[in-house]
Amino acid sequence: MTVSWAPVIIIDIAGSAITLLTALWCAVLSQKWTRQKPDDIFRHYIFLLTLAIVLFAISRSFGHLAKQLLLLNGMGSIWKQISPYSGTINSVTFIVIFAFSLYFHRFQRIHTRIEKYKNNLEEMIALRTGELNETNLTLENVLNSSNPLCITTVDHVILKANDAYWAIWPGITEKDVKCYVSRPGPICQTEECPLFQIKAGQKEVFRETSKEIDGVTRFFIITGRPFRDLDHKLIGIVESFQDISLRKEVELALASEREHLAVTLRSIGDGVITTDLKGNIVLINKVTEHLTGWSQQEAIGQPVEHLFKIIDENSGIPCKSPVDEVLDSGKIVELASNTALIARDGTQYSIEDSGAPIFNKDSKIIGTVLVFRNVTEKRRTKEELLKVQKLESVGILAGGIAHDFNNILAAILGNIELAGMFVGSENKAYPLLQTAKKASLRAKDLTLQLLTFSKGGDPVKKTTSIATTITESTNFILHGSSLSCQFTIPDNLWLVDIDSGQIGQVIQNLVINAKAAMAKGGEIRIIASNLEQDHPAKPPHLLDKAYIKIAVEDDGCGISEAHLEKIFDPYFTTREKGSGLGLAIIHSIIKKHHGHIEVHSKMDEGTTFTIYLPASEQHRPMIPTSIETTHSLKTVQARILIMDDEVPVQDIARLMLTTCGHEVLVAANGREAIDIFKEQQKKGKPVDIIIMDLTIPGGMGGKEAVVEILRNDPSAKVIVSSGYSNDPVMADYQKYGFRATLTKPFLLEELKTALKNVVLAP
Amino acid sequence: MVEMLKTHLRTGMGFFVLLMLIADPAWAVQTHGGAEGLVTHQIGHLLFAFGMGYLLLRLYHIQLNSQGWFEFKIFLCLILVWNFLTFSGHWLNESMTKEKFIHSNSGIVAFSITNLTDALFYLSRLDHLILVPSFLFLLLALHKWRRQK
Repeated sequence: MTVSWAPVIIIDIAGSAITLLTALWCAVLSQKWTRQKPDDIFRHYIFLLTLAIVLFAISRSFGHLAKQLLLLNGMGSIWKQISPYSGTINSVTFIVIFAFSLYFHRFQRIHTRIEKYKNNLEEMIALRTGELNETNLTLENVLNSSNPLCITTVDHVILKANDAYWAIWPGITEKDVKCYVSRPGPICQTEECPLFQIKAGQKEVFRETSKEIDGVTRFFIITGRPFRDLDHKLIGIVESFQDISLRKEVELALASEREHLAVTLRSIGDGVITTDLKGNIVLINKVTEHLTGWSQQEAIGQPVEHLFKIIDENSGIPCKSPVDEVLDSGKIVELASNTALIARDGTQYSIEDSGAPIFNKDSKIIGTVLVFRNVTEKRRTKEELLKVQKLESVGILAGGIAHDFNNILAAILGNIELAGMFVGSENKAYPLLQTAKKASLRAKDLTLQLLTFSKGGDPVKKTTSIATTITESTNFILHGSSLSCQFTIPDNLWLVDIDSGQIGQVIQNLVINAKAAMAKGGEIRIIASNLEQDHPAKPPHLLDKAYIKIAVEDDGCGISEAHLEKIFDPYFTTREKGSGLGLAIIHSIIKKHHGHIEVHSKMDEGTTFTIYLPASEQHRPMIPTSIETTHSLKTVQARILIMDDEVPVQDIARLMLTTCGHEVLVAANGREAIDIFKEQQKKGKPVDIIIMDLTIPGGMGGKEAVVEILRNDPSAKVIVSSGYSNDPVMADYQKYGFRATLTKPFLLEELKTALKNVVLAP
Repeated sequence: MVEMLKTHLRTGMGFFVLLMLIADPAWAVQTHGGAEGLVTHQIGHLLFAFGMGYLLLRLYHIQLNSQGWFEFKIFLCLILVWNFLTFSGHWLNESMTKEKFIHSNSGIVAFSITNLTDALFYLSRLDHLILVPSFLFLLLALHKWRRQK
């Protein structure tokens, strides 16, 4: 059978061409497949194997195509020459393919192992990655749950920061934010910068910073620590920011409270000293500084005894430190009532003091606190009060006896005087009667002085200028004396509400004392001045109002310090003829005028008595009082009604009046006097003058009776008589309806004067 | 494994030496005599075939089931067949006499098939019918591998 050779040729040519193209395509795909996973050694193997096969295909296809073309073109001889080369190349490719094939197993095994390793590795990586992710997540959570925190490189670039940080300091959206851009501040890029400090070798740095957030300033404390790599090389700083705003607020509040307490402590009116357990001073306040003369800086750390020197005021013996007592007993300790503090300059202050232990929260003693106050003025006031109380006691006594005593004296004095009149001056008994009269008058003065202390001796005040009272009282005492007096009284001296009689008595007594102190003569100086409400010279215990000051100065022998404390006591005197009542009365009068009297004296240098009297609300100087005109007296025959419960007084008054030619009626009390007055009026023999005792024990006195008498006859002339010469009614008799006063005991002349005044009165 | 390889190599080499000694070259078709030497080429074919067979064997053992390997195995099978076919063709070519080829002026135009050997020879000249599909399968295998992630 003969078959065409053409199919052989056609299939050879076409097959070679297709094989060539397919092989090339395979090469391309193989390369792409390998590049998909360059680290896959098996793919590389397949690629190489494919390349060998492709090489074979190319070699063979080209050979067959060349052969067919040459044979078809009758060039078989050429083909014959090149065919060995083509065949050899094919053979070589066979060997190469064979060689590659043999390595399939190895590559495959390596590949399998690698894959296995790779899978294991990937599993491990996945596992580790999972763990790492978990750790990262945990760290992120921890990081973001913590305080603001940032890690900064040595180049100031913020490497990492948590959400809390970015919430406070902006810059999260920017790349490579510098720390000094994120949170600029005065220490940035200076030696104070924490990063600089860490770079300089510090292991930990603390700084404080603040940031205004929503209008509120928040404070942070920065803790910076080194940030190192695995080789322990410094690569930055880790800074955490602890919000201390609340703590700051509390600290500020505490500081404010501490300041408040310190200010309070320093402003306390009492002296305060705190000590430690050794008795060394920890703190003193301003009052303590003032009283001791030590400043706080000087005092701190000093033993308390150096600063707080206390003595017994009476004996001068140093007292035991209260600090020791407090520490020993652990209880509050109070000092004796007569303790005095000796200041640094030697000034002595009377103090009241208490010491107490200071306990901590565990009730352990950690120190002591001494609280003391200057009671010098208080003690002085107390002594003054004591004096007043003494005088009041005298006054009560005097008031009790003065009334009866004056009645008795009235009888004695009246009778002596009338007896003198009756016997005549040439009688031998006359001098004796005169002596008796003088003694009675002295007794009267004494009674009058005693009455000053009594309640009945309350001043009858009138707004007046004191200048006249001063000058008149002084001149009266110094009249005929070798002493002179220099008055320094301003024209604008304020008015005062005073009982001129009592104040005159004060001036007189002071001038008498000065006169007695300057036996060899000299000059007394009386200086009056106005003291404004806030005048620095005003003693602190006086009321918060204006005063006038009257100083009576002498250059006499002075008063010893020992006597100074007692001079205002009743019956205390250093003079042989002194009654001991002068200064006591002065004191009493001044107190009753709500004033104050001080004395300063130095032996052989002189004494100054200073009186402070409250200025009247009407400060203007008073218009001088009109000069009383004297009237010539004329004798008047009258019907006179005497009302007194004391029969001796009735008798002597009756005798005196009848001696003067008057008709006398007598009543024992007010009611009886009224009845007589009315009865006489009915009879057409009205009473012309009535002399009424002010006080009738157990009956109607003159004060009440005059009201009814004047109701019955408004023109009735009534004289009030009393042993209480300082009774307000006696001082202001006209207000009560009387025409004149008559102080018991009275002399005949005084009685006549009173009658004349009544008659002349309108 | 190495021993098995050595055995196969020895067997293959002996077969080809024998074959080359008895073959008679035919001018009408491509021969691998001359400077190249048929034996060399045939040994190459055998090595090629052996390599492909070895790959096939390994793939059979390692049971690669992913996409593309099946096509690759087909490629190996076809290329293995092709090797044996061309190996036979080269071998039979040596025994073909000139009379078997009918020439014209332009060259061989027909082939006289008188026995099974002639038929087999003629068929071996159509080896591209196997070679081209084998490469297509290789292309398909590579394509599938490449598509895989």
